[in-house]
Amino acid sequence: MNVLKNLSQDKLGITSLIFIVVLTFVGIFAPLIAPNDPIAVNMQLRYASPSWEYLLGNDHLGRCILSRMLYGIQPSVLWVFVALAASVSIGAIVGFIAGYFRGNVDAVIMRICDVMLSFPVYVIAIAIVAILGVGLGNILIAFVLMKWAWFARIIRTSVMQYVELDYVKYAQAIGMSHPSIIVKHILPVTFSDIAVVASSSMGSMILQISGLSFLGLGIKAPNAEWGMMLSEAREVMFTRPELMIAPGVAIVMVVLAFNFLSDSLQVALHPQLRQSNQSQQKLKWFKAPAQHEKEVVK
Amino acid sequence: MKLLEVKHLKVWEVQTGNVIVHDTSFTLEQGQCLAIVGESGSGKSVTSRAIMRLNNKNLQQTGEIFLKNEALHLLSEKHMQRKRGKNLCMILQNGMTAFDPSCLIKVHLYETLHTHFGWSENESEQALMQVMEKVNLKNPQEILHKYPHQLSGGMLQRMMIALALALEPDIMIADEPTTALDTISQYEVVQQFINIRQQMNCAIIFISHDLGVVRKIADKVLVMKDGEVVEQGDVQAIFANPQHDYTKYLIATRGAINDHFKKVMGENVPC
Amino acid sequence: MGIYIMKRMLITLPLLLAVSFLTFVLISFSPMEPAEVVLRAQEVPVITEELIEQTNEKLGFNKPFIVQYFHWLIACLQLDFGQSYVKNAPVWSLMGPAFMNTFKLTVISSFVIIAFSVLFGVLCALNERTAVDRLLRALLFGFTAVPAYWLGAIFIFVFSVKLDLLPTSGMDGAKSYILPVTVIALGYIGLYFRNIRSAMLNNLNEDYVLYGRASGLPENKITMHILRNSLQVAISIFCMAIPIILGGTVVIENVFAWPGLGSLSISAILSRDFPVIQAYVLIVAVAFVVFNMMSDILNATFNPRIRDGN
Repeated sequence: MNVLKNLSQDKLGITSLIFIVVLTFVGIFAPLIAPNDPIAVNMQLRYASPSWEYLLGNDHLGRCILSRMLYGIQPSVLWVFVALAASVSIGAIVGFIAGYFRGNVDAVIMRICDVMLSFPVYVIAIAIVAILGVGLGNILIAFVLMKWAWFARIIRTSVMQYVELDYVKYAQAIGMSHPSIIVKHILPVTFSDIAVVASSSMGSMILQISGLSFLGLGIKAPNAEWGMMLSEAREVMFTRPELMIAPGVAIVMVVLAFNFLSDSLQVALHPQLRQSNQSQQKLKWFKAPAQHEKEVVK
Repeated sequence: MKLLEVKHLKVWEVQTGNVIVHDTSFTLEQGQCLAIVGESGSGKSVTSRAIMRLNNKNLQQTGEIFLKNEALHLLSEKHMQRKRGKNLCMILQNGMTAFDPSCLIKVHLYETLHTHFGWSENESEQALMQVMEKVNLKNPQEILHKYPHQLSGGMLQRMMIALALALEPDIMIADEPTTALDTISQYEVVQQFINIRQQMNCAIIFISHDLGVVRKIADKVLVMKDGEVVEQGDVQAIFANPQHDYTKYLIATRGAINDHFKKVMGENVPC
Repeated sequence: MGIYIMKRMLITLPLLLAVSFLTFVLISFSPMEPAEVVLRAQEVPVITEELIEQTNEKLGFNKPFIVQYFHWLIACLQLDFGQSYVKNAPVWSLMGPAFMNTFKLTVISSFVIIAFSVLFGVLCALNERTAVDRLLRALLFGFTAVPAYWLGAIFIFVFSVKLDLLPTSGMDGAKSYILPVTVIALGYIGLYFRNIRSAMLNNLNEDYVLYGRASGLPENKITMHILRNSLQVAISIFCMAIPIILGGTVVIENVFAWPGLGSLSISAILSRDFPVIQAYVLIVAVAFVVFNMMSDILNATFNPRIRDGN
């Protein structure tokens, strides 16, 4: 539990974590918390200014913006998290197999990863939406399909480092079975690396997926999603620019929170990073993959 | 005449206030070789870098340093820069990392000689050919046109010595020059230092934890422990009659390892 | 060096083949029968079995899968990506101009990104932990969290509508590049300048810097050596950035109504115009692979260690 202790010393990190946790709860319990029905149209309240009943005002169909924002947490953040978890899990399993057993299995897996990584995520998402049709689910499927390769590669590198360590070799020598070596000796130590790469991808994934929703490829109306709310607001941008504020600010805050958390997590898991000199070496290891992640296209 | 005089040198870390080198004073005469010995972390390297004012920005130093009666600690950074290389030359521990990995070896050498003497590439090349011969580097032309990773650590070490010879400094500071090398290269490099001592009138500060090497080439020894000088004096005197416990310990452990080594070898080598 | 380039190119060939195959397979997974899609796209009123049969014959959909693939591949190599189902024109006649528009936007953005990433990276590294460093890092870190389409809309509102300085959208002269390029660049600079900064800082602690100083080299010469070694990162970033932006301009093109690949592909999705989507995926993926290769080759020219296979 050193990690939590380290993290608690980092004000920005802990604030981000609390923000994310609260947001998650609000997202899950949106139906209980939201003051109004997010899809109830009320043409009398078109573009109404904030009032006590509608704290953030109303949109072009007179719907409650605050309620739509709260309901929007689920598709904008929580489902993205599910997709991330899925692709990290697949990547972890594949990465463990490749990094632990090496040889031909590794070679084949890595070639497959090379091919997958030759496609920018955006492009594949577009292709998959083209095949399966418009919808948030299809976008998430596209992300899971593409992102696992990228995680598999990083996790493989991490696993390979630990497999070389003497105590793992010793465990192999005394005849421990492969699954129990992986579970007992390798998983715990690679877990921190996995946590860091996963958390650093969260922000960019939120941006990318909201971007696709903005293009009208994601969630279907009348459901609320932040990217789509921005897309709707854009239609009336010149007359009602204030409609752009809430969803935009929400996305920025969530992404910032995840980015801060990811940075803090990295330091909390590897406290030696705080001392600047050696940190550079180790950081290089983490930053190098980040360089590959250039698909952080927004 | 005193060539170098260091008075009350103190080095500390700015952020933490940790003192790394405490109140250290010593002198060096013309043509002398001073060895600074001690375990890693004892402040040897920091002391030597402090003379050249080359420690990291997070380290600060006070104290007086005189080179031929000129106060180095008072010089502006610009004037100090001119002293480096020309008057004070440094030889680093790891030759493999001491040269820019993306440039040919000659680039650093030519730049240095050009900076201090304004020599053209041709003149530099001529001068280097001569000194490289001296340090036993064959095919100087070829070596100059190699990248650092294409040469061995020992060759790069001798390359640094060659550059120092070309610069003809007052003092050569060698920071653990043999540590990163295998035994044969170590021997060659030590031989070079002995040659330099015999042929040139250049003083040497030799930092090492290898007492065997120190005994071979040094005149004076400075023993450091935890940033403090625990003992200094003539090399013979110190080895024959160490005063401080730590010095005794250093000499004893070396002896012990040596004895042990001989014993093991003696048992295993068939006569 | 020549050998290295040859080797690197040979590795790329099978990758390109795999990428093209995957592109082909992907589109073939469509749950709808392709002939039906074609007919619907052409708005044929009644689709009969017979008509589907005819279309299959005409477009070769009834041939074995692998044969279809090779036909398609060979055609692609000649820039023949088939007919658009919707527009009834060769795909390349739509794709070509759109590609050039996107490519121009991409290249200009890449230059801006690399210039500012290097500038800020070097500035921050040389002034590590000072106010300049902190401020720039915080600012650029912030921009990486801003959705590009949102920023684009805000810029349009401020600079085009309120201040009336720049065109709101479209591709009309040099002025129309300013906003899209700025928006694209702001997102990426924050990512890339960090790499350059940390590369610089790593190099600052290297022995060769100490030895350079100890040899009395002037600070500007030492900085040049550090730059030389750090800029390898910049080169690989530059090469990587081009294809990524190429594939990622979709959203920006939408915001600024840029007549490029992104706009084309979105309208193709909504009308299920598969040959266009197929060509889009293939072109971007191939660009990705090729620029990746170029970045490796460029890196090797600057870093002799990679060349010698260490």
